[in-house]
Amino acid sequence: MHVTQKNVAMIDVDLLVSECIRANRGEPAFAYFISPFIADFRIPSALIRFASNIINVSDVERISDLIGLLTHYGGKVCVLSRSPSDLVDTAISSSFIRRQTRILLQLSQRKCEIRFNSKLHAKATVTSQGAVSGSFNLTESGRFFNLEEGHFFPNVEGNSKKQYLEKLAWAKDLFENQSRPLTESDFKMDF
Amino acid sequence: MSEPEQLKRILDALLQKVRLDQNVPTNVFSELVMMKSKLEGALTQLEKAKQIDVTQIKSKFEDAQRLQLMLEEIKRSEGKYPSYIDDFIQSIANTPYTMPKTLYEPQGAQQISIDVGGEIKTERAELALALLFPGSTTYRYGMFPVKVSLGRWYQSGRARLSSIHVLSSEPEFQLTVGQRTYDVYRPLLLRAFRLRRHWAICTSCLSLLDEDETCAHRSIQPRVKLPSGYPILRKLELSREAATSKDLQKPMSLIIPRVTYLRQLRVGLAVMGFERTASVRGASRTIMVNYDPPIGIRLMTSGLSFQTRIPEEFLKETLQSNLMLRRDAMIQLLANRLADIMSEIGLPSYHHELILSSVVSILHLNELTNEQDVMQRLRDDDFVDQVMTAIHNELDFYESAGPDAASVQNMLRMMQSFDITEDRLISKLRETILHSLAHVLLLSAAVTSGSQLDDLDYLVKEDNGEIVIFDSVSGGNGSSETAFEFLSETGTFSVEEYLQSEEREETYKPRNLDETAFEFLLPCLNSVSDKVFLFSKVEPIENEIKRKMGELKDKETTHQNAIRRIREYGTTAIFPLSIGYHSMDYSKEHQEADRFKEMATICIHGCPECISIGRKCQHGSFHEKYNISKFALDELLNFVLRHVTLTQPFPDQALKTLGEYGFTILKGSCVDEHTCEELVRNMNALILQIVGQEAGNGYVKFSGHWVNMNLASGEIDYYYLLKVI
Repeated sequence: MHVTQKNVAMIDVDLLVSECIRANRGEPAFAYFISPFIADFRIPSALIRFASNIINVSDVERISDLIGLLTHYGGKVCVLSRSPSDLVDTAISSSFIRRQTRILLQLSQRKCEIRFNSKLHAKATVTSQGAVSGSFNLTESGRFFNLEEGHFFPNVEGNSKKQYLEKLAWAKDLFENQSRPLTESDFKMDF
Repeated sequence: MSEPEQLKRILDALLQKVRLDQNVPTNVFSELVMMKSKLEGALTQLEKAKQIDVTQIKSKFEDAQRLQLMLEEIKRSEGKYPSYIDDFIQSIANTPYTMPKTLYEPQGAQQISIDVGGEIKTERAELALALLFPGSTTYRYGMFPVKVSLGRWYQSGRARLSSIHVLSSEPEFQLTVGQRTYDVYRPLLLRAFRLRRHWAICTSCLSLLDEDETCAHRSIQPRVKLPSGYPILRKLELSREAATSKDLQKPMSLIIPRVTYLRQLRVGLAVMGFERTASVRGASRTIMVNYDPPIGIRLMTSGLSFQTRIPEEFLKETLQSNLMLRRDAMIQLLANRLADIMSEIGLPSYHHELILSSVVSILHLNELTNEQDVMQRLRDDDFVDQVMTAIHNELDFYESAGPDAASVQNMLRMMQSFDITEDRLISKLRETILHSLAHVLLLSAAVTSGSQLDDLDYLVKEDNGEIVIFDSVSGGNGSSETAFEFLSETGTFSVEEYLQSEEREETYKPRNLDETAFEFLLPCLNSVSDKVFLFSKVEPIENEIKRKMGELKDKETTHQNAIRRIREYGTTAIFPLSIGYHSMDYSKEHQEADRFKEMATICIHGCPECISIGRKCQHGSFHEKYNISKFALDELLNFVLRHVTLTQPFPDQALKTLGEYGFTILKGSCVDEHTCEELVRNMNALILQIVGQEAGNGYVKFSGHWVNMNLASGEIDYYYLLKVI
């Protein structure tokens, strides 16, 4: 399915809520976030409204809350990005680098596994239910402001399944074999 | 000069002498200098220690001990799976998260005087009626408990207040309950007295054996702990001034289309009597005392008006198709009629459950019987004798001596003329649903506004299907206004509008009122777990259900006889089993009876985890279960959602319904673990093919997911809500 900035955040939220439901059922649940730039952003309330007697999706305000909710339910979250220390000598503003540092620290505290690749340019979100890949970074601009384009591959029988499995294998390989773990020096910056 | 300074001066003088004494060796002198220095240091520390506030230290030490206990509790919770840590953390949150009263502390506008043994105290009127009603006890006025006088009531269950307290000469307002109209008088001065140190309670009627109440039952139990009491409140709207209105979003709008903020609302608040609960030989008992006349005040406050929509065809169809709900409505009708007659003839209400249980047994209401058969048995010549025998047999399980036989016979004869007609059943179901919705809205308004239940109150207007939720204090406390502010949003989303909206800059917003109310309408998970444990072959694997099931499984050994008997009765008998002990036909042991009662109290028409609000209910916690029905709310929700519910859905069909109605519900049922797994997999696949797609004027969003157990089939039903936003 074709995805743009108009519906990508909606799909993000639905994928993560679906993972929470799976995790709550004791089934394997995971999410790979691959994005060179990451910043926390508010989720519009219309996107996060969810009525349930099984899981509690209240008190979710920002994307980091939703990711944290998945780890709370027992889901595994892997984040692949570019290290803040690698961004210091680029044209990226220091305020953005600080924001990236902040969310990575937050996610790390919420038991998400963080890894880095300094050449990373690809963007994707892959869960057990589907994969979204395209031009959008996991930032407010990437999700709402910019003109973005990509595709959603649900994990359902048919053509989509093959593409989903390719995305999943790619994401796993990238995360496990083509990246390095987070170290203390990643957050030591001198602007 | 202070003592240390004096001592220092003496030491200096002594040291000076020693220094001049040539017989003292140098090393001894050095040692003495060092010791003097140490002594001076110790004296300085002593002075500092004297300045320490012992009370403050003690308080800090207690805080530390409390925190240590909390940490130990957290450590214990962490070891469990699934963990209760979230529930626990919420319960220890600091203000204002759990104590929003600090934001809205009401000032009130009316006062009532309390005469405590000649000493006059002045209290806010609402507070006095809530806490200092006749018959209540309080530690508000010192170390020894004070009781607000009540007078003797045990013979009729009615306390005559005019002869004890000073009431207004003219009624404040009139209130009609059932077919009776009461004059409600404003209390000007309530008389109270300090209780003696040694006091006792009657185990039959729960009269306090003091110089005020006292009864003639002679079943005395000395007490240490005072009984708890709650007023039975009735409210009446006197006038209103409406301000703005808002429409609710689907699916909530199918039941409540519109809400209006009432800027000024005048309400008559009457205390009709009170409930007293005490533990008698380990078991909790409750009695009810009526006031003659009722006392009350007029409140000027603000509130919210909810216009409900309960379709007539739903009431008719449901009563025709759902025989269990029909039978339960009959029991609720009989229970209310019984309470009315008991009140009329002055039979104390603590016998209500015993008599009702015997009536249920004789009328065969454990079965799915129809009203013709019920009325035939009711009119039977032997009915009164049969019920009297049943009462006699069941009395073994109660502590009390039993009701006066002549009064009960009289009451049962009055019951015999009671008609259960289709119209009456329809009317009862409408009232029950309306009242249950009022509980849902009260709870939702409290959650949304961050208030406590005592900050709000409600009124139900059966004639026009309106529910009014209002601030429970004169002048208002802001709760209903806050709830109105967070009532509802458009529910739509577009990037262009979002970029220009102020929402991005807003601080955290709580859940909307309609969103919270809709969640309260979803099936009660406590009920689902109980029903699954007792009657289903499928065990859902959701964490919360597993946790509750785990608690129930712990009782499988100790409560095995009770569990077996309840299973033999089957799902259709759930509600009647919870009334009295008439179903206890396999044992005469008290412990076994208590176990049976514990297991048979299954949430079918409401529990504290869903819509039961206990003493806040306008019928009082004593009669609440005969006036609410979560089961009926579940049926109403299914009814209003039936045209958008797809039971064998395909993506095209779901998209078509989404385009037409703006939302759809996908429903699947399973009978065993294997089909459950397959169902959930298929449903997930279906949802994934639809979410994010364009439909109608927006995109499809996964907006809800809930589970229920079908009582008729024993199947587990999974529901998935999809909306166009």
